[in-house]
Amino acid sequence: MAKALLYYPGCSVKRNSPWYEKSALAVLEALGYRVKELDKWYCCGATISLAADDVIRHLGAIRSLIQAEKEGEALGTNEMLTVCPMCYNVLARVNNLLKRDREKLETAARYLRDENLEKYSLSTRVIHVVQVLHREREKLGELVKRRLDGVRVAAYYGCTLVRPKDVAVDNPESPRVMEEILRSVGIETVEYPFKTLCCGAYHSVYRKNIAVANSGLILTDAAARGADIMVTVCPLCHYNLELAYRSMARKPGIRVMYLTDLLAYVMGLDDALSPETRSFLDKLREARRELVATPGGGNS
Amino acid sequence: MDMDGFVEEVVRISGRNPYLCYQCGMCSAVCPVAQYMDILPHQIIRLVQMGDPAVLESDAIWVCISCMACVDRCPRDVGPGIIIDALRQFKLRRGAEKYDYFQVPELGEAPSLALVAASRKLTG
Ligand code: SF4
Ligand code: SF4
Repeated sequence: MAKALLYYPGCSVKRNSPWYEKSALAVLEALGYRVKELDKWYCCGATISLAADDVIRHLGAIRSLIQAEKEGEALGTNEMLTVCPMCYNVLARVNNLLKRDREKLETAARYLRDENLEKYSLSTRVIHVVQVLHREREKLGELVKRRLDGVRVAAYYGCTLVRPKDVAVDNPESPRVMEEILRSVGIETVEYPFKTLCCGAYHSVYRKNIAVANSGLILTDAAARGADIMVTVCPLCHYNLELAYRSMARKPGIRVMYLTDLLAYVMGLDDALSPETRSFLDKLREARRELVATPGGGNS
Repeated sequence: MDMDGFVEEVVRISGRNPYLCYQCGMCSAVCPVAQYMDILPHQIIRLVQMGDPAVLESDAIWVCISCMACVDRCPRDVGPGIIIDALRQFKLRRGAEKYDYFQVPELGEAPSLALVAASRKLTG
C-alpha cells in the first residue's frame, strides 16, 4: 500500500504559488506517496499568537489538527503534510502547546463542542515537505533522469523551518537538510552565511525597505559565492527575494525557485513545471554542459 | 492611556520574566532588523525592567517580526521577542492601529499570508 499523507495546503500555496504545489505533489507522488488534501482546512493564522492568555487565535490551527485526526484514521496515517513553512511553524507550535498545556486543550474543546468537533486527542503529527524529502533522499537519487553538472545551488531556510528550536527541522544554527536533499540528486551546493537570516517576512507589505534590504543581502551574498540558483520552500521568502531582485539596479546572476521545482526538473517531471522554470533550467543546463565539454572552459 | 501596571500586564501576557535579563546584548546582536529600530531589543527589555512606559512609544516594537532568533539564543531564557510581542499586545488591546490597508504597496501580488501576518501583528 502506498504511504499516505494528509495534505494541509494553506492560503498562499493555493492562491499565490500553484506551481510550487504542483511540483511538490508530483515529487511526492513519484516517491510513492498517496497525498490526500484535507476535505476541510482552516487558515493557520500565518504567525502563532504569542500571548500566554490567548486561545481564540489558535482555533484555526486546532480545527485543522482535529480534521487531520479524523481523516487520518481512514487513511492509516497521522502525518499532516505542509509545504508552506509558515503553516508548518504555526500548526506544529500549536500542536506542541496543546501537549504542554492541558488547560488550553480543554478550553478549546469546550468552545469547539458547539461546532460538533470532537476533542483533539493530540495524535496528529505536523510535518514539512522538506522532512519527507530528506527521509526519502536515497530514493530521490534513484529517480534522477537529468544531471545538472556544473550548476551550483544555495539553499535558503529563513526562519520558520528552524526557529523556535522545538519545531526546528534540523540544527537551527547550521541546517543541512536541504543541501543533503540536493546532493542526493547530484546537485552541487554552495555554503553562505545568511541561510537562516530573516528575509523580512511581512515587512514586504508594511516596511518594504526592510524586506528588500534583507532579501537583497541574502541573494547577493549567495550569488557572489557562485550560486546560480537559490532554492526556497516558502511562498513569502520567494516573494521577498524576487522583490529584492526586481529592485536591484545591478542584478546578481542568480535565480530564485522552489526546491521542489528543481527536484521535479532533475526527475523529469516536466508537467509539474511552469514553462518559464523549465526553459530557464534547459538553457542553464545547456550552457553548463558546453562549459564542461570545452577543455579549459570557464577560465576565461 | 493608562500605563500604570504595564509591566505586570506585559509579564502576564508574555509569561516571561524580564528581570532575568543581565543585559548581555545577544538579542540585539542576532536581531535581523535591529538596524531599523530606534531602540535595540536589549534596551527594550531594560526599559521594561525599569518600568519606564516610554518603551511603549518606541517604534522598535513594531519593527520586530517575531523571527525568534533572540528567543532561541538568549542565555537567560528571557524570551525578548515574546516580551516585545506582549508590548505590542498591550497597545493593541487599548486600540492601537498600526496598519493602513490603503497604503499597502503591490498588495495584489504579495502572498496572502503576508497580509494575514501583518494584520495579526499590527492590528487589534
Ligand atoms: S539576550 Fe537575553 S539576557 Fe541578553 S540582553 Fe537580551 S534579553 Fe537580556
Ligand atoms: S524576535 Fe524580534 S527582536 Fe527578536 S531577533 Fe527577531 S525581530 Fe529581533
